Formats: sequence, structure tokens, C-alpha cells
Amino acid sequence: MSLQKFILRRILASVPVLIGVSIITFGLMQLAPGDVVDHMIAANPNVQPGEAARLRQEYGLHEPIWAQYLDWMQGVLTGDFGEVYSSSRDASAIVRARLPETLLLAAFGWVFAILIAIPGGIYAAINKDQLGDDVSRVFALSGISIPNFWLGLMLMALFAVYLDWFPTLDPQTGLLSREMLWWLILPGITIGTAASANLMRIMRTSMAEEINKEYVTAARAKGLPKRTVYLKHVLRNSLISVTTVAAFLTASLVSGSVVVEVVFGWPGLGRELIQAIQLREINLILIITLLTGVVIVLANLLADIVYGLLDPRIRDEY
Amino acid sequence: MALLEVENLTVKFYTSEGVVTAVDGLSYTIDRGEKFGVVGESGAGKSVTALSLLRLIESPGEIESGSIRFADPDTVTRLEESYPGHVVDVEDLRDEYNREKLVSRFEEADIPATELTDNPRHDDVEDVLAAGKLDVRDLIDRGHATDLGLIDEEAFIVYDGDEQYIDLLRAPEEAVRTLRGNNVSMIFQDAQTALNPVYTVGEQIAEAIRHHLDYDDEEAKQRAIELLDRVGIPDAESRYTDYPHEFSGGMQQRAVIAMALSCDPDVIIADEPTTALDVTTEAKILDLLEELTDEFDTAVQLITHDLGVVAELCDRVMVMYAGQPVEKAPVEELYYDPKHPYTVGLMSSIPRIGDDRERLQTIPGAMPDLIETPSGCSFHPRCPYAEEACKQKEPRMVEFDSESVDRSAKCLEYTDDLDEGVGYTVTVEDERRMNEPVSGDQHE
Amino acid sequence: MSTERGRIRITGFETDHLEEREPDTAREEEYVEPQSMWRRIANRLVRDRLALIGITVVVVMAVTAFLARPITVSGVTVQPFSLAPYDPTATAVGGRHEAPSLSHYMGTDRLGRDLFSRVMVGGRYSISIGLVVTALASTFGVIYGSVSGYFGGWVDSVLMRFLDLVFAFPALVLALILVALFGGGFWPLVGAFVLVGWASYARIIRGEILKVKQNEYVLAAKALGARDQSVLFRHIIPNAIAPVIVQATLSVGTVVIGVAALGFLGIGFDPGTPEWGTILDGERDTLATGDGGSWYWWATVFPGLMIFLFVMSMNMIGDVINDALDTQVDDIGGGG
Repeated sequence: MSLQKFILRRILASVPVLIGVSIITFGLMQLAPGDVVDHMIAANPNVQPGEAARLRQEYGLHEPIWAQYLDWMQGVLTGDFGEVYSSSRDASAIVRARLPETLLLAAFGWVFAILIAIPGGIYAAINKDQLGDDVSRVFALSGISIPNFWLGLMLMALFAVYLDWFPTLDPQTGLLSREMLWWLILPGITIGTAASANLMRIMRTSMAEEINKEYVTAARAKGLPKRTVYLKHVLRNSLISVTTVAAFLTASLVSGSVVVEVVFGWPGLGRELIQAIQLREINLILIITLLTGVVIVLANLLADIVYGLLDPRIRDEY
Repeated sequence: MALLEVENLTVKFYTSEGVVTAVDGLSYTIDRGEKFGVVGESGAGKSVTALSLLRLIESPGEIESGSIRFADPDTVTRLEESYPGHVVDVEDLRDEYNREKLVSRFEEADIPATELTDNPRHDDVEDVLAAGKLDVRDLIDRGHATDLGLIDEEAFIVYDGDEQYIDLLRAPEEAVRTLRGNNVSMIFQDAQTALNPVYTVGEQIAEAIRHHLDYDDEEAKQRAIELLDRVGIPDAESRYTDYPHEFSGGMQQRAVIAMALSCDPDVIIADEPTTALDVTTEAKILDLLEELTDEFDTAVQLITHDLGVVAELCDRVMVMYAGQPVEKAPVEELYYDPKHPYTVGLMSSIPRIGDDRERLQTIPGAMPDLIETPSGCSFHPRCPYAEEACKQKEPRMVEFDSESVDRSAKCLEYTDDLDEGVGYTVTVEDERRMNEPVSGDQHE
Repeated sequence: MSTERGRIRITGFETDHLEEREPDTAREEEYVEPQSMWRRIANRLVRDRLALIGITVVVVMAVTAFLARPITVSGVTVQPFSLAPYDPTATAVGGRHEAPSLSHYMGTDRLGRDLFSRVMVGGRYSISIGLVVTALASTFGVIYGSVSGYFGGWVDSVLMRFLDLVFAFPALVLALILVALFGGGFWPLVGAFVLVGWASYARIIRGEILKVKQNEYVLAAKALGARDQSVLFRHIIPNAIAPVIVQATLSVGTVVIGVAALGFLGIGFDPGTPEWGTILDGERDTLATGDGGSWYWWATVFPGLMIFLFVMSMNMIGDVINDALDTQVDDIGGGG
């Protein structure tokens, strides 16, 4: 099957998943005990219990669930994410302000991870069972064992507080300004470390496996230099399993950003989510959760496409 | 001098379970255009032999000793251009080192003569040299020339009068790489795994062409398409851009053959090329192989366990057992006059219609573990003619004086060490009279 | 050699007497039984230094956590020992934020509580949740994945679709939301992490089952009339279980970090609970105030260090198990 058809089919397959994600997200919120009105009553002394019914009417909470769902989805698809009751802001505004920050953080983490993991993994595989390999394995193992919030705290304590190389607070200049990018480095490294450790291990295993395969011997029997054999023949096959894992890692990057944003005070959606949870801001929780699901589905889609680019056999399977 | 000469090759694998002697003292030659068969059960060391020729043995394996000589004049000339300082002229050496000097060198280096000729009777260097049993050329081939300080360790291009060759085991990796896929190429057993699944078949053929013959992309593609066509793949031009998984098993094997032929090699090593194929496809592939190698005068080292394939394709055969050669013969002689009990056993296990035996004949037991080979003759536990002597004394390869080249067998029978001899009979049955033996040979 | 050509027949290669011959004592072939999977794992674990270190650390941490403070179940004192030098909840046993000393190995926290005792007891939460979650999630995941993989067809399609949905959510975020909305505490945390964790096992076992299903011994068993259930449990699962085991050991670490992360965010356990992540949450603000000299490093370093050590040890064990089960052919067994 041609590449284009393959890509199209994968995109189409993602749509039902996205819909499912939205349904589950919405359903989950509904299951939680208490709703925003209860919370308002408990938190805000100006709101009397007697007003509960009226408030519910006002917020449309008395409607049947499926109607609320459709209502909400309609809003989402038109860019209206609902209202944030506690601060009377627009959820969409918050999302628009915070999403790029989180995306920037995640992107940094991603790039950092790949730049370290791929060469590191290749090196370890080629030097398998020698010192270089052992060292990289210990590094990788530590990388996935370290809790990211602790790593963040340590990095911050050492580099930002003690050595004073980085700021500890939001410089509040534009998103892509030099100060922000500089500030981005510590949280970016924090979030990228676990991902890079994971990727490096997979890269190494995958490549070490491929190197033992017969087509490698055949390629060498043709007189090709080792460099060509590794970088042209082996690498492409090794990257196949790496891609699937890489997509999976997006989920952990997203989760990681929540915690890391809190540690560093990075003004992204993750930090917003925590605040929204504390305030029981359903709409905000809803939209942020939905967005994380969307990001992951998109990442998987991208991985599928890259996989199809790398491995021609897959195109015929789907 | 033959195109390819292997002398006394020994390859060992150092594993955590012990040292596996995969190949032990292997010697054979292949002439230009000749079809040479290597026969044996699995585990006999056949594939290791093939990989050694290309110097593709990797850790934990090591080529311990031996000599592999490749005597194609064009190749020698080509390598001489790239490695001018690595040439040895043997005639010059002979002039330079007379007998006395050689003897003194021997004494300095402390190497006994027995090591050089494999014959325990030759223990005095001087006598050996005087008797003409040892020449400077032999010293170079067996690797002692460097120890004795006669030549540089890196000298791998050898001239000796009319003869010229490359010593493959002493050549640097880059030099050997110019031979791989170019002068010596390989056909792998399982075409499916030998082809890289993520690149097109055409690309994998063109790759070698571009690398060795320095063609540009378009020329290489054209040649690859021609090759695909020549090996019998229909619609070669569109098949060029297909991936391996889009080819059937037989076609994959044809593609692999095309890959091996791409740079017009002098020798093709075919490692069980038809084992993975069904019988009909097998026949076609063998025909193809014969046709192409005859056309281009390519020598073939055919590795197989199938005696039928050998009978059809080969000119000469070597039978291997437990990493050692046990018999060498021209193909007809091997079948009609086998000398080694193992060969006899292989032949007698082939079931025949009209055979009135009740059970299938086999050679009982299994190929021995190559870490701890049996004492004496490695075949003795399974040999019906084995005697006490066989457990104790390792036989040597005995050459038979016959009109044919290189007729030998490794059995104590031929050094007169056996009391009772080997008691088998080879009967040739006339096609018309199935049940009456026409004539026979008795071996007592 | 005869000059006739035609069909060849060999007679005289009699092998019957060979079987009667006594075995060659020079080389005795012992039949070495192929080791079972568990044997191989145990073997590797014992031989590999890293694994040994890992096992030691885990065992030591688990035992000290267990023996740290007395445990009573319905009034019966199950565990009477008290390794922890101080009561982890007792405040002001030392000054506030005292540096580590001989009387307080890890110093004290902001309320003057002995950090060492707290950290010791804190191990209970992390270790127990890690193990319980892994056990439950893997069991459920394996059953789900097995059913899906074995029966195939539309059953598989439906079950896998649902699995895809579960995978679309980031585990930690989902766990976070669940706990935040439904409340914290031990069992809610276990529930949340099981809910987000079972999917990996299901996917793994399904993949393995799809591979194993092709194997002929399955067909053989069926041909002999074995029931589906029996085929599944007695033949397929034991052979497909290897990657699940590896995943389980690696997952314990993930869960421990996850629980600690939630604790760090203030969600999960009540503040003041000596759970490692919660301790970090409580001490977090000391970082900002600390400036050069007055950073109370022990308050943030030690709890996190404990998490790191435990997870690292689990991962080392998991790695070695992975190698043990993965061993295809390391060495060349013979010529060929």
C-alpha cells in the first residue's frame, strides 16, 4: 500500500479514539462526588446552600448527562472551553496562555532526550559488554529510577539557588525571550532525563539485537565498511522499535510536566491543572485532561507514520 | 597454483562453556571455474569455513592458524597498486637466504622442523631443507616467515615466478573488504533473513555494484535490473523497487544469487543455497546456478548436507566431520569408490526403492560436541569398523596416488593400522537388472 | 573402482553392534536438563553483582520498614520491634531543622521531628503500595490480555479498542485526577494506580500470546482435545509470561515514584504522613529560603534519596531478570 493511503488510514483510525477519550474524560468527571456547586457552597461563604438548585439551573447541571456532554463537546470544538467559576475567567483564555508554555517544555524535553539517547544507545550497542556499554547502562538505569520531582529539586538547589546560574522565579518576559529560554533549561533537563534514559535503553537493546541478524553478515560479505553497515542497515531497523517506545514516552513526558511545572513554578497547563483540582474547577480539569489525551493520540499517530516510513512491511499490514 | 588454496585452517570459538574447535586443520583447493562441494551434517564446521574465507569470523571466534591464498592476477595487481610496500618476491628471498642462513634463523627462533612439515620424522632442520621438503615459499605460507624475520608482518602480496597470490589472513581489513562481494561473494542459506527488510531488493544489489565497481546510481541500477532479469525474475524493472517481503521464497533466493553475481566474482560460496526451498524450486535454482557459473567461469564452493545436490552440481567434493576434512575426491570417485567409513555411512543411509531392509539405515549417535572431541579418530564412536587403534591414534590424511587430483581420506585403514580393515561393498546396479549386482568392489 | 555406471548400493555398513558397544569413557555425555525459567532467573540473580546489590537493598529496606514501629492488627501486636529511634509523629524531639548528627542520623524536619525515623516508617507506604498495585494490576492485565489474545476475532478487536483508549491517557495525570476527586489514602491510591497500570500487562501478554499461538504445541494440545481454558493456562501463559515478569519488576518502581509524586503534590496522603513524597512536599519551601549556607539539605535530599535507592534496586533486579529470560544464544554452540 502506498504511504499516503497508509497515513490516511491511520488518521482515520485515530478519530474514534479521540471521541472515546472525550467521552471517558467527561464521564469520569461526572462520577466524582460533589460538583462545582457543592464546592462553591463549601468554599465561598457568600453562597448559601439554598441557592444550590438555582445555581445548578444556571450552570446547566440539571440537564441529562448526554446533553451536557454534547453541549460541552460543541463548545470544545468551537473553542469555548467553559467558564472558570472561581476566578470568572474564560477557560479558553487560560488554555491559550498556558498551552504553549507546556508545549515548549515538552518539546525541549523531547529534543534533549533524543539527542542523548540515540547516539548513546548506538555507542552502547556497538561496544556491547565493554566498559562504555556498562557505564551507559548504569546511567540509563539511574535515569529511569530517579523521581523527577526530586531531581528537579536537587537541580534547582544546586544550580539555581546555590550557584545562582539560573533564576528561580518566572522572569515574566515573553515566551521565547532569552530569559525564559534560559530559565527553561533546568526544568527541561529534569523532564527529559527519564525519557532519555528510557530511550537509550531501548535503542541499545534494539540495535544489539539487529546486529546479530543475518542481513548484517550479508552486508559485510558484500564488502561494505562497518560504518555503512551500522548506520545504513542496522540503524534503520533498530529505530523501528524505538519509535513505538518514543510515542509511549510522550505520555510520561506529559505526566512529568505536571510535576516539574509545580517544582519550578513553570507557568504551564500542568500547574494550572493542580490548581484547578484544588479548586474543583471542572471545566478546566475537563479541558486539560482532554488535551493531554489528544496530545498522546497525536503522538501515537506520528509514531505510526514514522514507523510506516521506516518499515515497508507495515504498510501492507494495515 | 589453484585459484583458492586453504591450508591447515583452524578456527576456534572461545565460549563460556569451553573452547569449540569448529574447524581443525582444514586444507583444500579450488581451481578457477571449478565446482567444489563441501558435505557434512550440521555442526561439522561448513559455514564457519565459508565465513573464514571472507574473514568474517567475529569474537568469540578466532582464526587460530592456517593460510588462505587467493591467486587471481587482476586482484593481485589491483592490491599492489594500493599497497605497494606490502609485496614479497619469493625468488629474491630464495637468493638472499641460502640454507645456512635459514638454519641459523631457525635456531635463533627456536622452531622445530616437525612443526613445519607435520611429519614427526622430520626433526632436523638441515636435513629437511637438504631433502627439499621445505622451501622459503612454504615458510611464508605457513606463517613462520614472520617469526623467522624473513619478511615483514604486513607483507601479504606474494610473487613467486609465474605465481602470484594474496595471503588473505595477513592482509589488512580494508584490503580484504575489496575482495568481499567483489572477487569472493556469498550466497546465504536463508534468503529471507539475508535480505534487509527495509530496503528494496534492487537497492541491495546496486549497493555492492556502486561500492566495488564505482558505477554511478543510474548505471548501477541498470546493471542490477539486468542481473535480476538474468537470474530469471520476470518484470525485472518494476521488481527492482520491490521489497524483500514482496518476493516469494524462490525469487528471494534468485535475488540473493543476483547479489552474489553482481560484481562478477571469481569464487562464489554458496552456503546451503537450496535447503530452505521446496524440491521443484531447488532444481530450478541449481540449474540456474550451474548455468550462470559456467557462463562466467565462476568457481563455486557449494556447502550442503544433501548428497543429491552434490552429485548434480559438483566436480570435486570434500566430506567434513566434526570440523575436520575426512575425505576428498572427484565427485564420481566419491560415489563409486568411497574411502572413508563416514562417507560410506552417508551413502548407505540413502533409502532406495527395492531395498529389502526393514529399517532405515542411519549412522547411530550424533556429531560430537566440538568442545571435547573424541580421542583418536573423532568418528570412532559411530564407526562400525572401529578398533582399539582408532581410539588412541588420530589418523592423518592419506593421499592416494591416482590419476585424479587430490584424492585422500583420513582413516587408519590407509596407514595400515587396522587389523580387520573396513568391510563394505559397493555394488553398481545396471538399470535394467535391478536385483542382480553386476560387478562389485570388495574392501577388506 | 568399477567402471560401470548406474545405481549404487552399499552393503556391509553394519551398525547394529554399535549400540551394544560400551560407551567411550573418554567422553561421557551427561544429559543436562534444560533449566526451567525460574531456575535460570534464580541463577542469574545470584551471579550478577548488580542484582545482588539490588536484592540486598530492597530486602533491607523492606525489613527495616516493617520493623520500624510496632504494628497492631485488631489489638494484637503483630510486630513488636521498634527499630526507629524516635516516634515518627512526635514533634520537637530535637530542634527544628537540626543538621544530621549522631542523635539524629538524618537531622530533623521543620517541626523538629526525627527525619530518620520518619523515612524509615515512610518505606512502608511506598513499598507496600508498589507491591500490591503490581500484583493486582498484573493479574487483571494478564487475564484481560490473555482472553483478548487467545480468542482473537471480534473479542480481540473490541477489547483492544478499549485498551487503546486507556493508553491514550497519561497514567500519572489520570491517577492524579482520580485521587483528587475521589479522595486519598492507601486503598484509593492502590485503586487509582491499578486502574491506570493494568493496561501495559494486557498489551504485553496479548502480544506474546499472538506469537505463541502459532506454535505447534498449542495446536497439538488442541488436537488432543484439551479445553480452551486448559490450553490457555497450562500451555500458553507459562510460555508467554516472561516479559510480564520483567514488566512487573520495572513497574514497581514506576508506581513508587508515582505515589511519591502525588504525595509531593499534596494529593494522596494527609500532610504529616511520613510517606516519602509527602515529606518532600512539607519541606519543599525550605529550598527557596535557603540561600548559600542555610539550605536544610537533609530535609530534601534524604527522602528523595530513599525513593531513588529503592527504585534503582528494583530496576537492577528487573534488568537482570530481563537478561536471564532474554538469553537466546550468547555463545556459539558449535560449528555448523
